Amino acid sequence: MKIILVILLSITLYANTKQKMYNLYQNEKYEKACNLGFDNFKQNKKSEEFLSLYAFSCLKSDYIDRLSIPMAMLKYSKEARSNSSYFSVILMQKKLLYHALVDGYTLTDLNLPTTDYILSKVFDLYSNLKKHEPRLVYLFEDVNDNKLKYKLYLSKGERIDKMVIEEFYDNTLIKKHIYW
Amino acid sequence: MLNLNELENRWLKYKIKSYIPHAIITLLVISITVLISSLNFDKKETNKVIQKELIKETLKPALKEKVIEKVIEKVIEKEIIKKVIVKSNNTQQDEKLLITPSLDFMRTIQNDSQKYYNTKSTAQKKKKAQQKHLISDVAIEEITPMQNIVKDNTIDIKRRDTQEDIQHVIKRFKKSNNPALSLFVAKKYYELGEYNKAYNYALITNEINNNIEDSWIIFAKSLVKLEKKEKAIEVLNKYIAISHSGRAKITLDNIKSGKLK
Repeated sequence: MKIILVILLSITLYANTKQKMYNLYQNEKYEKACNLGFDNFKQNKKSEEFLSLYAFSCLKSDYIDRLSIPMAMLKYSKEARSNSSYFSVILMQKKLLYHALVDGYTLTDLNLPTTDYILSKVFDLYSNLKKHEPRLVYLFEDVNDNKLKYKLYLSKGERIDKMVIEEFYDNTLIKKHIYW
Repeated sequence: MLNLNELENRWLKYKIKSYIPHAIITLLVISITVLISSLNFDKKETNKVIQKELIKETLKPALKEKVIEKVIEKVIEKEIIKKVIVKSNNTQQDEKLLITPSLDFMRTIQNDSQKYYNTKSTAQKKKKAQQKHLISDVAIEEITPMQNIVKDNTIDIKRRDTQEDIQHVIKRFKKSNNPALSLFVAKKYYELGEYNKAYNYALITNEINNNIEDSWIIFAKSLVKLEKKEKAIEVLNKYIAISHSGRAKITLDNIKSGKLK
């Protein structure tokens, strides 16, 4: 009887977490959804739906490094593998772009796949610059929409520099993404 | 007694004899192919020699110009081919492989949640029905309100709070006619998925004050949710023409691209 109760309780808790995360995601509260997934990861890690939802929430709230674990665990279905490769490209581009900005690593000869995520767009625009002298601020224009502009720069921190991407639409700041 | 050595020798001879026709055929095939290829090569070489001789002959003053023109044409053709190859290589480099995410899992989560809530609600209904049965058997008037209180303590506390909040704000709005309150109501209804009400309150807000960006955005978003995408686009276009709002432009782009469904 106790075992059945425990099982029932765990099932309801599991369903609750996923449902709560889904509701938060739908209400565009991505950071809360990501943190909820982070806190309840151990109990739900076997569900690929949970892993995908957690990863997308973290991606939308710019917690890119949190993608590494779901990325490695998403492998059992076609959809999971597709999402895993999507996350891996973004994570790799983030690391490479940061390396390029901080250490002057050249990205000119790389021809990587791309995604619709902002980091990928900025990565492509940066790698198209070819060899150049390092700049304090990079300004890029979106390939498809000339009103959309991206500003890329390094922000000095106490322990570590942070990579900042600012998104402008018609010269008004829409969103600021900070990665490190 | 059988002479084994003699027998083995005979078997060996027989085996060698059996292989001879195969070996002859393969040798013949090889020699024929070699001959044909060498003949072709010779032909090509002789053709080239003949062509060269012809060119030399034709390089007489009268025909020089024509030959030069032909040579130039060939050179140009070669350059064009080279350029095309280079261009195609460039386009190959430019065309990057686009990886798109798959969000089908969202649907399954949504379906699961509906099932989850449906099963919960059916279980609750069954419970309620059983309780009602019991109550009707014993004493209806006294126990039913108690049962209702117990029943109300289950899940929907948060949602009812927001509903109560909304009702409270609506009352305040009716008294004060403040557009901030009606906008709040519109936003809340949109969050709750009651798009008809969200649309109505956004419309009321716009009628009171037509310079509130959020209200126009909620209005357009509600229209999209009510499957009136074209009207939403039309409304946003008109608003953008007057206000030049950046957020409205983004919403419009999202609607047009299908990101906002």
